[in-house]
Amino acid sequence: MKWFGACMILLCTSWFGHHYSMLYTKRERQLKQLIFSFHIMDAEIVHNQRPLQETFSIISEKLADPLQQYYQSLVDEMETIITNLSVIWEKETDNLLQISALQKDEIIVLKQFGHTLGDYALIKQHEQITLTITYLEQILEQAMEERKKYSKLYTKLGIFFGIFLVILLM
Amino acid sequence: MLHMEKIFQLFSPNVKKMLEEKVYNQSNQLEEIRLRIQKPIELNFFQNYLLLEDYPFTEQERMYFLRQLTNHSIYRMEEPFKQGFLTISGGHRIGFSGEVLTDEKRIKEATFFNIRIAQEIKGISKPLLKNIREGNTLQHTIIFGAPQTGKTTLLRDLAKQISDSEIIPQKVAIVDERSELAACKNGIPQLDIGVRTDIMDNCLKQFGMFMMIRSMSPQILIIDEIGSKEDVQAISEAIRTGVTIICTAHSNDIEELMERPQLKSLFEQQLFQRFVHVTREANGAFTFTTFHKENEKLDFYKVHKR
Repeated sequence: MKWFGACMILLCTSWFGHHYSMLYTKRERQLKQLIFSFHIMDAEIVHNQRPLQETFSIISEKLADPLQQYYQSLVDEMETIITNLSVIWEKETDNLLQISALQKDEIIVLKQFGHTLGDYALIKQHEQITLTITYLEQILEQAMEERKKYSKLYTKLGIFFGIFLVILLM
Repeated sequence: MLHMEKIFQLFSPNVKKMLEEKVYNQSNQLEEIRLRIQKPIELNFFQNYLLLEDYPFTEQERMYFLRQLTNHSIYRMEEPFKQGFLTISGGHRIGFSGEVLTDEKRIKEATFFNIRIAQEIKGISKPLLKNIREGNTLQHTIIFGAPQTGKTTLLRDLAKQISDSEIIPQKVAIVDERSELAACKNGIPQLDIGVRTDIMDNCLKQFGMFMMIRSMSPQILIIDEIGSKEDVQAISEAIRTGVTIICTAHSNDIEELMERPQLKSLFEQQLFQRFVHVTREANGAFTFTTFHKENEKLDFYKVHKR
């Protein structure tokens, strides 16, 4: 029984360590997907002048959750007549913070972008998208460094803390 | 009022409610809604106009209007701003003006809008059909009148009546340079121009005519508002291909029409057999006076607008 308990403790702490470690990995992956989605948005707007709802729909088909869900929610909201797109964008972006590994920095960038989305002529809209991609790429760079620094650390911490607890309790 | 719904949706809820109230009993008389930045919204009915002093077209309202017009995608106005107009569902045409980028020949910032309400009056050209025919053959016809007398409305219905005729249905082709006849949106006509009608939308008349003749083998070619040297040259040649031309032109009376410098050569060649003068009376009724060549009045009809 003692050994079984010890294994359970070790498993739990390792799992927690791994979970926190994975958050860094997930954040990096989702940031890359977010940047990819903005590249698609840019192409659809600049080259095809596609309306936003259709653009969101195209983007949503190319992504995995949670970003797929994010863009699909925007498509669904735009099915009815909406008075203010930036309000809906902000609402869904807040929701994205809850369902994804994305952090406050990128959420702020997204919200700022929402204030300009759809309100400008083609060139200026393209500039806004490009600027947002630049900000997100900077955040991605930081996120990659953090992953390298902390990802393995949390995994190891989880295991060592588990071992420490086992020794302590024995 | 159903056909106005697409237009009213472009306005904020308060303004929409006000427009519905003001237009309620006279929606078929409403011809234009004019919007000018910081000025009252103007409603143009056939016989009068109304300035809505309590409802200025503010910057907020303008942005709301543009967002609804483009489904929150204002960047899509690039092409319409070059052309100066946009056709929306229902066939209504919105003209723009404002600050222009001279180098790029397009509007930079639209602050003045003219919403022209599309009104279909089906059957209005029926009394005219027998007058522009010799036996079973339609004659080359020019419909003329002052601006806003209903030439386009008449021409549109003529296309439908000829195309859908049970007696002598014909293949009709329309060269719709300003998207007013068929009011195409994404290539789909928003107005009823007949089942056997093909449309060349948003195309210069002088190119569109020959493209239609070469590719769609029409029997009747319908063109709105001829006036330029290029139009006249194209018509002179098109008439000689065997297709029947029905077109419109601006003019207050037949004498003035005959004297129009650009069109004179057409009449000197005696290419047209029928001239239809369209006027509107004070109560909105259309009046058609058909001439067979110059000054030989054929018939006089009064048709009341429904």
